[in-house]
Amino acid sequence: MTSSSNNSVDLKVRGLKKSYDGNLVLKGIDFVAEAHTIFVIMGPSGSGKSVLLRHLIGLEVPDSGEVLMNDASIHDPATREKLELAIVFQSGGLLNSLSVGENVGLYLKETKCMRDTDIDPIVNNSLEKVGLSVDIDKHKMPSALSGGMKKRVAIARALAINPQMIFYDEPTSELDPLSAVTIGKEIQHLNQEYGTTSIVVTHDRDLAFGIGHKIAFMKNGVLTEPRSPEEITQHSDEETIRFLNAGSIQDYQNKTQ
Amino acid sequence: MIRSIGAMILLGWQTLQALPHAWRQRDKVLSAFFEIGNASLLMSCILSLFIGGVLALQSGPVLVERGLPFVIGQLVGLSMCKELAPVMMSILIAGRVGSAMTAEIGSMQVYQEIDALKTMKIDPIRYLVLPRMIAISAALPMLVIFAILVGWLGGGLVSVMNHDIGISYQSYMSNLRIAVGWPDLIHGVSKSTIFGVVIGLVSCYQGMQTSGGPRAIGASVTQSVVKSIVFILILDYFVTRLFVYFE
Repeated sequence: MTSSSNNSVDLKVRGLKKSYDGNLVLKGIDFVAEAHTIFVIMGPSGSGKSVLLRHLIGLEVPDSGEVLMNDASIHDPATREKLELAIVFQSGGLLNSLSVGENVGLYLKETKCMRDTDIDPIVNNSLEKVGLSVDIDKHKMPSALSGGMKKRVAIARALAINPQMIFYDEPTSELDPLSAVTIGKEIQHLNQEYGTTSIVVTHDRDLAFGIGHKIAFMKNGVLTEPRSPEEITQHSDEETIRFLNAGSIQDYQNKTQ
Repeated sequence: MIRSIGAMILLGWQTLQALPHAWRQRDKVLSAFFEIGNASLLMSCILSLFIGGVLALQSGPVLVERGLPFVIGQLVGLSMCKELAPVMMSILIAGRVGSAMTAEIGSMQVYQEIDALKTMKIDPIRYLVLPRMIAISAALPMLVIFAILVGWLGGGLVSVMNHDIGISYQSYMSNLRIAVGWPDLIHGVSKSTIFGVVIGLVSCYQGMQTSGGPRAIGASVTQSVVKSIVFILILDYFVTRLFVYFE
């Protein structure tokens, strides 16, 4: 597997709007994610983060606005064809009818039309990079994996694509704290080793502040100005600060008393 | 409903365009083909044996009473060949295989597997729809040929064993052979090929349209089976009209 650091792309989003059944979910999103960085989109559940992510990767077409990767629209089939993008879905998005190894090598087999003998080393390499066993885990079916392992396989699948940009949808949701830390480290490691631009959508504050170079906060379909983890606590509005500070046991006890 | 039909026709067109990729998907075609056979061979055997038997049982005594025992073979032969085997097998396959196809593609849609395919630049039509369409369009006519033969056997068994009919198996079969020709067999097989395409299209379309949670998969499966049966019965009339016109 070759390094993708030289091919890393930037992402520009301009005036992105989307409504479903008259309900405006994205109310004009503007931001820039520079190449080689980890850009974190943070926000509470139902704020429109996952919808935004689907637009960023071109799975949904916006009502207005544009998503540009290296200044080319993601909705242009030629751009999609040219770029190597990968997404790690919240549920993993693994094909349940295929084994772990087949899932990881799927892109190489179906899109790149490579031979099994050429695919195997890349699959093994990708699995090893995310700490999975080539001898045991490779032959397992996704239904036999834990949530954390599914996410790791999804990351391995993304790695096999040798992507210029990786999107992560809630990578630490449904994981125990230890697995969450492992996945977070994995994302950071991939960014550092290959320089791949990473867009992480999460409501996990620890992950966002632990790995993000820039963090933007999403609420009610609006994205705040992206800031560094240090800046965001100083310059955010009251609601963002409340979200960032909420959740500690002390805070919970104060609220219930 | 009109919009759904339009979307299904479009899906059919897109599947046709993906046909050059069929060879690359041969493993999946074969696997779907054998799955269809495994799922329905025994059922179709039992069903057609009894349909043929019931046909003979209902018509046999009446025809014998009126001095027309030689018509039993012709009646069972033509009914099974031109109408009952293609329609009944198609309905069976819609319920047994079409529903499974919808559930499989629907759950892939719900659990973001199809989104994952799209992000890997893998066309879901080429990867999921094409192999299933080829498999069902090839498997259904074969099942129908099998069902016709078993149905004839069922009619023959009842004709021989029922005391109110009591004709010989040789007489039954020779009369059947006089009435049923290759054009009749082609009639039934052609119908079943059309029905196979319809079942494949409806099942895959309903699966791809699934959105929401597990409950949506159930709803899609129900719709898939109902729509397939409705389309089969409506199309049966028009295809029969067409064949009658050319006969």
